[in-house]
Amino acid sequence: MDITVKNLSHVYSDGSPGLQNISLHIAGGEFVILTGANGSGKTTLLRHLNGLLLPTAGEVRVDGVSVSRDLLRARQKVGMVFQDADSQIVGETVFDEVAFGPENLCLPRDEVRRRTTSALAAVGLLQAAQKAPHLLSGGEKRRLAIGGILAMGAPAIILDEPFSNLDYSGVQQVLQQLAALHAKGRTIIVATHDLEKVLALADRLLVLAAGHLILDGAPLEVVKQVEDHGVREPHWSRIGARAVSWLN
Amino acid sequence: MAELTAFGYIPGNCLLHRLDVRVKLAGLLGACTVALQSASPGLLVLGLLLGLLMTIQRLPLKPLLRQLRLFCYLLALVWVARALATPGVPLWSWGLLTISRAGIVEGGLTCSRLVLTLLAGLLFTAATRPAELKTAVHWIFRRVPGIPAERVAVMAGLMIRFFPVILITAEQVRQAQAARCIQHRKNPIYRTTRVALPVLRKTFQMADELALAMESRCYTGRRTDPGLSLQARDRWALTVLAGLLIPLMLI
Repeated sequence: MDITVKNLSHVYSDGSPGLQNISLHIAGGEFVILTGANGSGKTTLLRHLNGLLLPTAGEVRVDGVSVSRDLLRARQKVGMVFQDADSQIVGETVFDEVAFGPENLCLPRDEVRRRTTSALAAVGLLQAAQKAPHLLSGGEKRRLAIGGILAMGAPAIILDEPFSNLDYSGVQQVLQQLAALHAKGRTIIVATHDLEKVLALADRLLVLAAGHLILDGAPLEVVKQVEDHGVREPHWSRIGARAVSWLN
Repeated sequence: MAELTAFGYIPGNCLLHRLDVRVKLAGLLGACTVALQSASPGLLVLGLLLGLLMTIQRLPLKPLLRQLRLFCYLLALVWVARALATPGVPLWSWGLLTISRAGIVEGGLTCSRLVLTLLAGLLFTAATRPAELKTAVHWIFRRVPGIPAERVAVMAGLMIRFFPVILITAEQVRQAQAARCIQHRKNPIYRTTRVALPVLRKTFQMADELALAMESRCYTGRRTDPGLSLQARDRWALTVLAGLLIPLMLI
């Protein structure tokens, strides 16, 4: 499943520019990291990919179909995990939370149950199905959010700062999940300024600065220039060692 | 966010969890009617019934009381106001203030009604998912002309979903302000506004984020609703409820 962004610009309601003339193509199955300093436009760009924001100019296409033309289709194909996992919890139990998406698609109840159970098994939360989501740990909450996306059958998953407020174990849980999903052919797009933890898993690194797409290329090539744009270069890259994620 | 909150769903598989939401709603309405209009014997029986249900549901009493302490202050205020305002044989007087025996009894009765109504509400929300409530509201209003049943149902569901979150936010703001010694400010209006404004701001922000998250998961208001079907246990429960509550309403 391909995502194509063509000459995308976004102006906020107060008139300030958010994104300026961004063009890129993400092929199905790619693992892409989107980085940049705070306020560089990472979240704004992500929200255009599943139609939560619509372009002031330009276009975003998911599998050849314009996001603006069919919002529901785009949201079903490109699932989004928000920065604050608590803010996106709707269900009163882990099971209800994952079932929320399939229920919004008006699927028959048996199908909702099948998809929910399968998604919970995929993120390792089947045993916690009847727990209240707020009682889960930070890493489990992120996995729950990913489960909610999987239950909708989204081939692409975008994650906005998925490691924020997570301890070492929580980061590892999320990384394991992302690596497993990528291995199964899902498209993964992660917005983060914390490259140390995840860059070793990625196929491609994009750098945004002040709403412009400044760099786009192989992680090991682009990472040497990230400090010019307000992002810390990972330690392994600074000392010339081989790339490692927090999973290694 | 991990703390238990009053007026929130508590996952479980107890008797009330398994009942059809319409039966629970009928029970809530019945219990509230009894609480608001019955005399003391009716209130006593209702209190015993609600106490039994709370035990069966294993509702943790201490944390609930801790979270409802503001409500306890309100009750105390109501009791004192009724005691002072109801005419009768004076028990104690100081200047213009007189507390009567009838006032104390009347105040106690009013507070009992409020407590029983609150307990019935607690039991209902602890055993009912917002999604079920939404379904029940939709079922009730779907044949009423002029009422957008789907929209009303969604609002009811979200209201229940948000109530505990707002309580948690209020507690966090209160603690943050206590950490900066707000208790040294004696003006209650100053203290109230200093807590209320950040809570309101944060609540609207959370509502905005939740709306965005729901939208991103294809929420449009039309969903697969949990199927409503009255089982044998629901019919039994309805019969028992009617048998208990209707006589109580007449006491």
